[in-house]
Amino acid sequence: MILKHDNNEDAIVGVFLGGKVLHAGKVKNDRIVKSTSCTIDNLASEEDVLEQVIKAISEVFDDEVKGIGVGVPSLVDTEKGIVYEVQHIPSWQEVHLKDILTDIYNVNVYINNDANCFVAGEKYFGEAITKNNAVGLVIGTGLGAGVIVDNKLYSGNNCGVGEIGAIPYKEHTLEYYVSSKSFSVKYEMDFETLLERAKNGNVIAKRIFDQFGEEVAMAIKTTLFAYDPEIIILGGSTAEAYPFFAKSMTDALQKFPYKKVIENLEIKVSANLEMPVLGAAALFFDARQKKFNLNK
Amino acid sequence: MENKTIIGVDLGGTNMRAGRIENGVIVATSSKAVPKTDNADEVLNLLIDTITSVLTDEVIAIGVGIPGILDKKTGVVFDIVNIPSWKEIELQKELNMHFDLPIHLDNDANCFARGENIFGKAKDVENVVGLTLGTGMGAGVIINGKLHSGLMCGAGELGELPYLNATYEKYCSGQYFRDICNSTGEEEYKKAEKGDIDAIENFENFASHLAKAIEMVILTYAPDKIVMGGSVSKSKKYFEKLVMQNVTKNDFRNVPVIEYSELENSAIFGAASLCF
Repeated sequence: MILKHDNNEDAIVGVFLGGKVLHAGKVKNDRIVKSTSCTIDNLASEEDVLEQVIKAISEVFDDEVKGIGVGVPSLVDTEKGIVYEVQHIPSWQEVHLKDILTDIYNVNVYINNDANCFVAGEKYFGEAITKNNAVGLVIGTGLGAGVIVDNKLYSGNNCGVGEIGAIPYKEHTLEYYVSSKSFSVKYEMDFETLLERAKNGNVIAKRIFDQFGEEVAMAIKTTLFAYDPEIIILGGSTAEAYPFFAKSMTDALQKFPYKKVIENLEIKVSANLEMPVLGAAALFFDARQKKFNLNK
Repeated sequence: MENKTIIGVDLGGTNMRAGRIENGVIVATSSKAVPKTDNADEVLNLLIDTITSVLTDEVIAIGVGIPGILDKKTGVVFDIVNIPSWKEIELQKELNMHFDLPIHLDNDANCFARGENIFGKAKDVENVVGLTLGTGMGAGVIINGKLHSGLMCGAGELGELPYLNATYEKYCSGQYFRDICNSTGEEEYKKAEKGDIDAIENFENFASHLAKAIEMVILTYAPDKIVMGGSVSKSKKYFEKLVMQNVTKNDFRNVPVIEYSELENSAIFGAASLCF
């Protein structure tokens, strides 16, 4: 059983470091009670970027905060709290983020990658609260999956679970076709512009999203063959275009060889724009859940 | 646990095998070929015969490994990859009626992984993938020491993913030798033993395909260990080293320990372990 949310009055700071944007919030009783967002100079030196992160955390941190969770789009050693080769921040090749933040704030610090934070957020605050097994598919600049098994985040060796974007597919990898990048590469037009055109009824833009839906279906099939979860939650920037690719995606999924799996599957789009911050905060609750299971 | 008498059944695409386990040892087995038929009852009756021939009064439960999709809650077996006549069979109920014993079902690849996790190469390993290379290709996944079957026991069906002009299963199981080499894995092994260069080359090509499948397993599950099993894995001496070279050559992150099952009847042990 999942530990009931009776201790969610614990205040946690959640931080999402998404390249140029940084969101931080103090989360208490399932809500963000204080928040800050800023644009950071992602090309600055390691120390300068770190300073900006610390400044943002300090804006929302106070005495009742029990822990800090940070979501970073990178390779993460979750135990040691080290982030490697952070996307869009070239100076962050190896940053011992957990040690640094623990020294400053003297609370427990949890670091994980963005896809894992996303699905942890959905597990504690979103669409997957009642599910034991869930997968969050983050379709943004890249493609990654966060996996909840038996109510707990499953990160695997070196946090390597869910790297489905790197699976070979057609001429490239799955990520090449299922990400916001795919639009610029294939059609020389960025995702936002295409979405705007589709909203205005542009037929070509709509057809492009139809095709995208078929590729998203491939990512979903991969998820089903690998994890067979109760629910798949779509997140990342492209989720906003869901109304335009939902139909072709659903149609393509009908070809899945195991009909029962499709019949029983729930697909949801993340409804909460604050999920990156909530998800980072959820790392605290996931760690507590794992500790609770160990002590049982 | 060890002193209970149980039956483990391995329902493969080619053969069905039942074994009675006493004190942790298989003391009796029975094996029959799966008939190529449209008649679902014929397969079911043969399965019941196979089980009956190892049944004694001491048996307290039966575990069955299924090559396909099932609902563990209802005991209904849905699509089975290599037994086309079984579309929606209430297997648990049928076997229950016949044997009046607790019946436990799971995917055959899951059973293999569990057998290795309890009796074989992956004892005490927390995160394990058991990869079966037989008539088809399947993966059983142990996460935090527990079998992860998924909602409809469909987790680990990675063999169904597209690869080249077909699927991984086509290139990484017995199907490779049957459909692409116009032979069988067994035949090619015999030829290779005699020094046949074509056969040895077939295994080399097989190794490069299998390495791709293993990379995919690492990308999805990042396990501590992968254990290989199934009939094709018995020819490992002709591809084992090459597979490892291929997986490591691209500086691929996260390469786990890869071992080959040496457990006789590990699928039977695995199916039996569902009873506990």
